[in-house]
Amino acid sequence: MRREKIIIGAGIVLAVLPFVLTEYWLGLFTQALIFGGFAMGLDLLVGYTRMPTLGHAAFFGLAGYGTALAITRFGINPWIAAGIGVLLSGGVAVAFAPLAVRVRGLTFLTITLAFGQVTWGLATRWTSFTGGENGIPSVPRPDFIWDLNDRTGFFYLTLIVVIFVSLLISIFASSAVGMSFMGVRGSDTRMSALGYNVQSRRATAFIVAALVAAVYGVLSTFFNKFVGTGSLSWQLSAQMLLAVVVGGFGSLWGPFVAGSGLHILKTLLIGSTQRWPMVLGVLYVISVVFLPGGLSSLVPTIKQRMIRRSKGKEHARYGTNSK
Amino acid sequence: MRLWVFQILNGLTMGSLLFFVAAGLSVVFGLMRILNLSHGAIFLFGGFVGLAVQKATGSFWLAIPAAMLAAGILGFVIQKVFSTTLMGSRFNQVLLTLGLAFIFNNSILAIWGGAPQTIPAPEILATSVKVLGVTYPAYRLFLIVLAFVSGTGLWLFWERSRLGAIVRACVDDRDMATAMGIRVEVVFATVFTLGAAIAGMAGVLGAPVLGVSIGLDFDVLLLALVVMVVGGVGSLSGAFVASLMVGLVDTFGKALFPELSYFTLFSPVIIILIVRPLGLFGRIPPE
Repeated sequence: MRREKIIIGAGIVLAVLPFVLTEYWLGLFTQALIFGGFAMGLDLLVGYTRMPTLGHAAFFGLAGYGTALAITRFGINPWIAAGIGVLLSGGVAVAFAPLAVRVRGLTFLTITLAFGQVTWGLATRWTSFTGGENGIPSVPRPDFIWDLNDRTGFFYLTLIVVIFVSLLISIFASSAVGMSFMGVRGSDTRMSALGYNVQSRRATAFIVAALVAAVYGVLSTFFNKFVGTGSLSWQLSAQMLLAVVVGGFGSLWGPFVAGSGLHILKTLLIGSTQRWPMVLGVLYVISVVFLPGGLSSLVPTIKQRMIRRSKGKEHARYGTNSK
Repeated sequence: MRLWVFQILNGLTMGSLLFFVAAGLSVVFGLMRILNLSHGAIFLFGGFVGLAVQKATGSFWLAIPAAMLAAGILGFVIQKVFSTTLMGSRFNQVLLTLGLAFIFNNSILAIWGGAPQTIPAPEILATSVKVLGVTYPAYRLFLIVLAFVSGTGLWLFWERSRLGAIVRACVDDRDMATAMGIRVEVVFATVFTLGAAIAGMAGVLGAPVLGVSIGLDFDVLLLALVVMVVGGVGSLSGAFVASLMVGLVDTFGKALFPELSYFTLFSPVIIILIVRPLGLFGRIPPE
């Protein structure tokens, strides 16, 4: 329950942002929340089961494209279109996951990468339907109790979705199924000896991560009022994978913070330089070589140090250390 | 009919180029279980170094050894500097080399700029030849012949030479090879460097056909990865057969269904890998 309380608490704190931030920064934070949430979902797959994927942007982008196409090409109500987008991604994930999880490691990486490229290739080349490199512009936002075309209004919708999805992920992660993912990571031979169906666990993690990506893909499309091939690119997948690594495997909050932070960093840097891939690359190298446990591993370390220091003070006070 | 011959030749050209990239990637993986995702960037680096040398000296044949040397040095430095991480968990090496790929990609952009460029084919080969009823660029035929010749050469080296036997021994059973007194880390450094040098060479060889441009590094890496996994990691003959297959499928897909080109290439790949996770010729589980 502790994690759920933290999520709700953090949500309440974030709710004051519209009062303190300018329009520009509020927009940036809205997107940061979206990418943070995406990374948090990916942590279930990458962090909990250690399946390295370079193709999960496919589910983010597919949902976005599904929604945008349903609205602009078929004139469907945005809310229903959002559902169609998520169902499209979810359906593809349900079909693909059982096949993909039959292989592991490098082959899994290659298959997910290839899968991502298939969706990216379709969006890029099938110009007549998907708009090709130009993407799909002027996707209207849905109607809601409050005005979503207003920055503040959209921020609150995003915040509510993020809190809701994060709570679901958190509850799911501490459920028996979620815990069994960690068992799969530890040793799948042991898990199958204990009677677990390892492949179905992996497939479940894959599908859940895809659904989370899909929800945020739809949100991102509504925020930008646009969906483009960048949302399906493997560079986005790589960025999300990095978020999980930098944040720390399996901590959920670490990848969320790192995913948000990376997006803010990217936006600020892209404005001034062309050096984003360089920064991304250096972050990869630094985090792998110097911080293999990620951000979340820092907290216990700092805590321990503080405990040690306060204990040291106690010892000093009672004179136990001096003799 | 003519169109078919033409496309088959195009596919073989593409496959030949892929073979040079994938061979290094695959053997390094087979040997040390190291997946080097910066291999595509090394390929492109070789291409740009070759371009610079070709511009400075006007000689295509000088560009090749220069690119091999530069790419070889880069490969040598990578494996020296990051040897601990590279030997560590699979997950970390994937992330590390992916990070390096981004760094190299952006450095190349900073040094040489983003405009696509090309190295003209050497003069002797800048003509067309009539084969099987079609007129085809001599340079591309040269590439196909070169791939078959060097494929055979590499295979002989691999199967018949002493050094090849040592490398194979290390691939099959590293601990046993160490116990027999083979210095595995030296073999590894050599193979890693050679793989990088061959990738650099491919960058120059491919330039008259594919050009040299930012983005090519990742396209080539993806295709080489597919070749390696389909052929079976660590298998040289697998890499050869899979290169030609991928080259042909890619070319035909692009020619017949341009709108679905990625689909026509990657869907068969996904199916092959699901049916045969070890690849066509593979013996090592690529985990």
